Amino acid sequence: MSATYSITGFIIIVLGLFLQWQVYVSRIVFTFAASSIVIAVWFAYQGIVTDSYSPIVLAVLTAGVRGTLIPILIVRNLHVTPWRARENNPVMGTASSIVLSLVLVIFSLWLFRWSIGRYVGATGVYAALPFAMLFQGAFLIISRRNAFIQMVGYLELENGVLLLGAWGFPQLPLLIEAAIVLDLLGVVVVARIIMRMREESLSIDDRAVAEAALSEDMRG
Amino acid sequence: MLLLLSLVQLAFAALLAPFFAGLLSTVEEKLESKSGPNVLQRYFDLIKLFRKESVVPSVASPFFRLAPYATFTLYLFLTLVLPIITAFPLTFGPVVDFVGGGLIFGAAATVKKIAAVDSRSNYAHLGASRAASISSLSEPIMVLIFIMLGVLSGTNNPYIINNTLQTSSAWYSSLLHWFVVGAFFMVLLVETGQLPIESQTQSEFGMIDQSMPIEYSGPELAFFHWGGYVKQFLLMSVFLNVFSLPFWVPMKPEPGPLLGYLAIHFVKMTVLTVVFALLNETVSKYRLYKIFDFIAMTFAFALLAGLAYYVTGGDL
Repeated sequence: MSATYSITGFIIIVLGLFLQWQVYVSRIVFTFAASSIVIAVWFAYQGIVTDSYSPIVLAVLTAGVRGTLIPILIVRNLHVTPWRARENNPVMGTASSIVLSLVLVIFSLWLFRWSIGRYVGATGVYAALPFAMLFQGAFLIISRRNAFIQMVGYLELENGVLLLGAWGFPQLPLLIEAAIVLDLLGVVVVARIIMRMREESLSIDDRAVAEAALSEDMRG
Repeated sequence: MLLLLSLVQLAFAALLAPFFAGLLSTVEEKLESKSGPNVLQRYFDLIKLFRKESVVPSVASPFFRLAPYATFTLYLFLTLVLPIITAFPLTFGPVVDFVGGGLIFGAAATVKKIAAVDSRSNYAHLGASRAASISSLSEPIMVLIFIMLGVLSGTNNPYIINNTLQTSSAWYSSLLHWFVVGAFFMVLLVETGQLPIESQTQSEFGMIDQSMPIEYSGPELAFFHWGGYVKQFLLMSVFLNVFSLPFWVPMKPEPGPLLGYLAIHFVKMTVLTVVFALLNETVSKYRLYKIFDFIAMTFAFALLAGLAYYVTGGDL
């Protein structure tokens, strides 16, 4: 089990670095969808191996909500707001953000080993991988200015929580695990509503500015 | 026996190198539904260049003329020390390890760049400058990859690494090994000038290695190109025999398996050439400054190999 877990963890860390590499939102969303599917596959595998239904339910929820529904929602919204299709003004260059993300992975592994790792024993060291994902997700949020990419950063961070819960606390009730998966659905819906409101208020302001300019011209 | 095998390996690499360069062009054209050049076109080009006279810029020093011979000799020397057709060291095998081999590759690249600068051509300067910028980052990554392989086998000797990977399925399937394979494949794309790094066109916007020999002609240009083909052949062979597919390389000096492996290596190289052609036909070229993002990812893969070893304690 620890072997498949660490392979899953490393695949997701690599996908986290790919997130830093990309500038187009659609690619970032698809990379996030791929990382969610990888987690879902691990859940399904765990369910089959342990002959338990709850990981299978989690696998279906993760693949359905995080791997499919949320990416589709974001990509659809991209068609409405095409100016948000890429990151135009990142906080730092791509190469530096890849290297810094990697440094954060190393830091998180060291931090884990230095703090929690002391108490969890040899097998618990694998829980360091979701720790790295938490840092990668948080770094994606602060290294980009595009709202969609920041949202993906938050989702990635939540993926880390999900994987940490699955490995560190396998006795956790299904309800709580499922809540972590579904929690994001609410976040995305709320974020979409806020964005729509913001766009509408902006367009009203734009109209007001345009009308004011027109009346100014007519007066002039 | 070992000396004879060394000569066979040298001839195998030097004579087949232009074939795979030609095969790459042909497969790429076939993928574009064109008839494409003859697979042997690179041989015809080399023969044509050997028959032509040399024209040397009047401002260039004698070094300019010597450089192609020097680089070609260095690449030929590398054919004697790397595991191409055998998994046991030949006569010159113990002379260098992986770091030594990397230094010889680096020395050949430096000679090329100095000669390009010596030609006083703006295009050659442009190529030398770009190549120096890229290799200043890619070559330390290569060293990091060799260090990771050292973790795996306890040595930097390519023959021992091959033997370790051939005999240990645990190491072969380890995360450390596959991260190293990923990193070396990306370095291979950089060093052999494949897409998304360099497109083989005449546009100066994307030229790197292509523009360095722009002032060469005749036999010097032939040696420059031939050396480039041998370098590509060597790096591809190292990728196949040491990193990704170390199997079937003969571990004992027996004539039957050795002859059989010549055919197997030919097939392995053909498959990798087709992979390169597929990549070249499906991936767009990066803008020059985006190449450094690619190199950053390569560095990430090499470092993740070490992290995988650290996290799993070498169990995976």
